[in-house]
Amino acid sequence: MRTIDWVVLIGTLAVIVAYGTWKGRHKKDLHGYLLAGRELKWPTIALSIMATQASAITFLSTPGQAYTDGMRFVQFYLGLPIAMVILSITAVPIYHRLKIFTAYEYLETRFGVGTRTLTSLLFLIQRGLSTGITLYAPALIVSVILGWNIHVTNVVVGLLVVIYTASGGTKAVSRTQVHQLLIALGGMAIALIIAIHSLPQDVTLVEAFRVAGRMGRLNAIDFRFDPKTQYNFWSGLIGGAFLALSYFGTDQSQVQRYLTGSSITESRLGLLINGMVKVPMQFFILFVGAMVFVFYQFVAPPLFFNTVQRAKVSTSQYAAEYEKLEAQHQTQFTEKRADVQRLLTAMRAHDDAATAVATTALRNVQERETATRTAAASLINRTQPGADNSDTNYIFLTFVIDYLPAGVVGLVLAAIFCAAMSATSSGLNSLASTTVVDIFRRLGKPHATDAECVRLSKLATIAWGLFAIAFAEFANRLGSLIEAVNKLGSLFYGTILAIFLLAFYTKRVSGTAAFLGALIGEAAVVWCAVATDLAWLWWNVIGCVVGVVAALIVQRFVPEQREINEAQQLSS
Amino acid sequence: MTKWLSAVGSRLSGKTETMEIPTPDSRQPTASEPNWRLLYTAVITELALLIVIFYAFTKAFA
Repeated sequence: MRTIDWVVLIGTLAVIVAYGTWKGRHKKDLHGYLLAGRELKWPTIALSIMATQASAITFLSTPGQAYTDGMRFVQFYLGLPIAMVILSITAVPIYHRLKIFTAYEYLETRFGVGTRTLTSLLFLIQRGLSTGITLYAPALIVSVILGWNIHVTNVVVGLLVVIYTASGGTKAVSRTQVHQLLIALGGMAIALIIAIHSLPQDVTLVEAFRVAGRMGRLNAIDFRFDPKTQYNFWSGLIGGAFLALSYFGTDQSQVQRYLTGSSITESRLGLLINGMVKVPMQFFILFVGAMVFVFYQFVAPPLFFNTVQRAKVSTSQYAAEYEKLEAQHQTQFTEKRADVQRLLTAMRAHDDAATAVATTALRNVQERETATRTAAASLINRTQPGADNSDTNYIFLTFVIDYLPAGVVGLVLAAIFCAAMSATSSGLNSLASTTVVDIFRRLGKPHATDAECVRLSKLATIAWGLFAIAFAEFANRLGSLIEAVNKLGSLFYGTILAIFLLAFYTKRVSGTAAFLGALIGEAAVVWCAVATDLAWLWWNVIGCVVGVVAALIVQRFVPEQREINEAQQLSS
Repeated sequence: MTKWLSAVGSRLSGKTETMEIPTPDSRQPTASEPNWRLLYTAVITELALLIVIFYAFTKAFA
């Protein structure tokens, strides 16, 4: 890193932290601290919702995903717009009119305090761990590529987030997220322009598309149905819709963003704009990865992008074997480059037969290259069992560091840290509100004053921040981080969604039935995760469907409880 | 600690906080509100268009 990069990086982060702290000042009551006084407009809400979901993992891991697996990951987001419409019609008006602080407050009105507490606890576990991963991801990647100390990076970024989140509350979080997301997207756009600009002069943009497409990197849509395939149209549309319904409708880190709207209209518009912009945005980020892939068809990539693991294997007993693989990789690259050139020549001459021959040859050498990379990964695993042998997360940053000009490297790093900070801040903010509103004020001290609650919210933000930093210190061996964070969420989201669907759409299901249904749904998800190889996006569907059906069945056997519940509601 | 735990226990088994539960919004749009039906249709239509474009993109360069 050059001096100018440090100036850009430190300057951007310092401005963001100062701006957040300044924007969130004068928030003395709980309403102002946790819901930004319910005065935000839809552009802020929309950008805040998008920034909450788009963490540093999105900007680091997603281009790597396109590099190794193509653009089919975009299908994961296809269910999102449908979920935004459903939530705008159902959840938003209900939450707004109840004037609640958290989504889980609503559950008590329907099923009682037990279900509210269970759901709050599921959220706290899942979001607490996810926030740790959100913090850990950029620290890990940056430490590997730039040689920074991972522990120091974790602690510094974590503390920066805690400073403005604890002092300024939700308003500080939402206002800074707007700028953070714009910086992050700006950084990606510059990286894309430079990737395209760095291609050989005689290669046009359309030719770059063709090379990527022929090598399976522009495979955005796959209509084949296979429950074991992670990303296809059906898993994305159905599984993705369930995941998005649960994430945006029941996860406090998102619900809190649109509860800040000054009216139902503002909140709805925020969600709908997210529904319209999110899919193209993810497509754009994946496209950056596809173009980085094309760039590496003309410039030799390393056999393994994770430099730390590469150094370890090079000094181990497997050094000779790794060197042999590197030589083999170099030969395959030379061969591949010649095949790419042949393909371009054939396409320029509109020679279909030669194009087909060159494509087949290119795919063959690509397969052999993938096999070499897999062999290198397994060698790394043998050197250090349990080591991080997935280098998807390191590809994009390696490209940035090695090929982007001075100043731009600092900007892209600032973009990545901005994304990490924005997702972490809304995570901490929602963890604090659930801890204070659903646990402390509901179960501990119902008559706590606003001042006490605000003070405790600040302490809870700091405590959860320290927990996230501590978890980030221990998080390891997670493979592709963007998958890890979504997989973790998918373990719980289906069940939580089942509880909310029962609350929204059934009148006769009692708290006991919903509670037992949720436990059965969660057991089904855990069984799917442990004992089957069902693609994880389907866990959301399983948890939700089993949870709802089980609650309806249980309800048939506990009529007494239902009557008690109704009697309680009538008497109150 | 025991006192606090028993207080928590009694609250967990105790009476539920009550709020009037509203039903999903069925109001007609007022003059100042956007036409929601049109907006929802626009979001879904955009999704359908994106799927078609992405599919064409996949096929065009495969």
